[in-house]
Amino acid sequence: MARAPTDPRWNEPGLLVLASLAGGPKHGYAVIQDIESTSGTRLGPGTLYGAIARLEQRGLIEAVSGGDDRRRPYRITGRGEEVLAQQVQSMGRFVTMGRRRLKLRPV
Amino acid sequence: MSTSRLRWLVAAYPPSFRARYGAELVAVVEDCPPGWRTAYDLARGAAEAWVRPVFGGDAAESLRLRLQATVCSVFVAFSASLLGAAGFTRSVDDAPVPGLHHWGLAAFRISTDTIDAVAVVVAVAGLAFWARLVRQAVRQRQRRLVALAAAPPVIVVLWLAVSALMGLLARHTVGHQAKLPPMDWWEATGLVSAFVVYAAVTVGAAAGCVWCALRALREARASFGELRWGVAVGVVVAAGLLVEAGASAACFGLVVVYGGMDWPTILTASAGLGMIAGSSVIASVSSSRGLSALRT
Repeated sequence: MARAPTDPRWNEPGLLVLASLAGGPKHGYAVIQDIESTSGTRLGPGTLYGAIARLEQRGLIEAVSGGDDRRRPYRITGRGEEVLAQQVQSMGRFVTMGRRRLKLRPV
Repeated sequence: MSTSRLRWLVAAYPPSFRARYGAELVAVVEDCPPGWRTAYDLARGAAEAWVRPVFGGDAAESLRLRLQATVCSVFVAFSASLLGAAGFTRSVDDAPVPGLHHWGLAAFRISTDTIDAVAVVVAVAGLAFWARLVRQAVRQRQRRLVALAAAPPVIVVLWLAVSALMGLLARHTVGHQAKLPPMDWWEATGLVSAFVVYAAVTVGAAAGCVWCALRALREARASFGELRWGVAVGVVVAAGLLVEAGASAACFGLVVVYGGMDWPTILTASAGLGMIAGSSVIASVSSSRGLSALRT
């Protein structure tokens, strides 16, 4: 599947949010904590909700109905999983190529 | 920066964004460590949400919100351009500037005639919507909507009363002379202070009218058909503002080249021109986004 021009790129907060939600539904602050623990990047609330709004608009994530309006959890959709998988494969090819050229041992 | 102050930054987001994500965003802000980094992130997020707006809900509601945002943005841009046009016209025409002749005068007339025509279009379209809004509000006994719809005319009447008072004050102080009479320090300070207060009242009245009108538009939940007409009017307004901006810039350039403007007048005229140009860009971008949303 070809990457749409609006899909998140490697360095975008949207991809970090997608990767976080691939591990299960989470609300906003839980996403921030998960991203910080896994990637060392701390997203601010403005950056996080900018990314969430765009991902939701493109149908890559969706709000889980019910529960507290202030702590609404989000989950990744099927289309979101496809986009994330495509990005991860692309990154994998890049990492393989980089390791080969740098003559690093395979992990 | 404290959490309570950070919550104020959430209020800087566009209304449609706040309606969808406002409560969640406030909750996350309360959980995050307060500080300038969070404040900067929120301010940047708010700016991005205004420049690249996102509309939630299903496809129909998302389109309705997009069209509503276009109508609101064009209305704000038009109101700002009126203020800019007032500043530009007064600074160029009140003197009148000696360099204002031939092509410069023609450009000036195109600029003023265009904003007059655009104002008529907005007034006719706005009054039609306003009449529908008042009927709906009165029928359904929506007191808040009645108050919001009634506020702009009341504000305009009050502003006209203040303007009349200012006119009397100016006539008493300056009379009908072309130049200001000699004044002592207290008289000059009083006159300048009165002018600054009047300018602030004018900007405040315009902001109050615009705020009430936009609030009423959102609360009345204008239908898709009404908003589609609103976008069509917005395209006309945007085209008019572009013509006005071009003509004003040409007039300003010619007047500056041919001379006759002192530095304070150049500053006032360029501030007015900047507002007109900025408004025309905002109206054009928002109208084109509304049009492309209608096409898809």
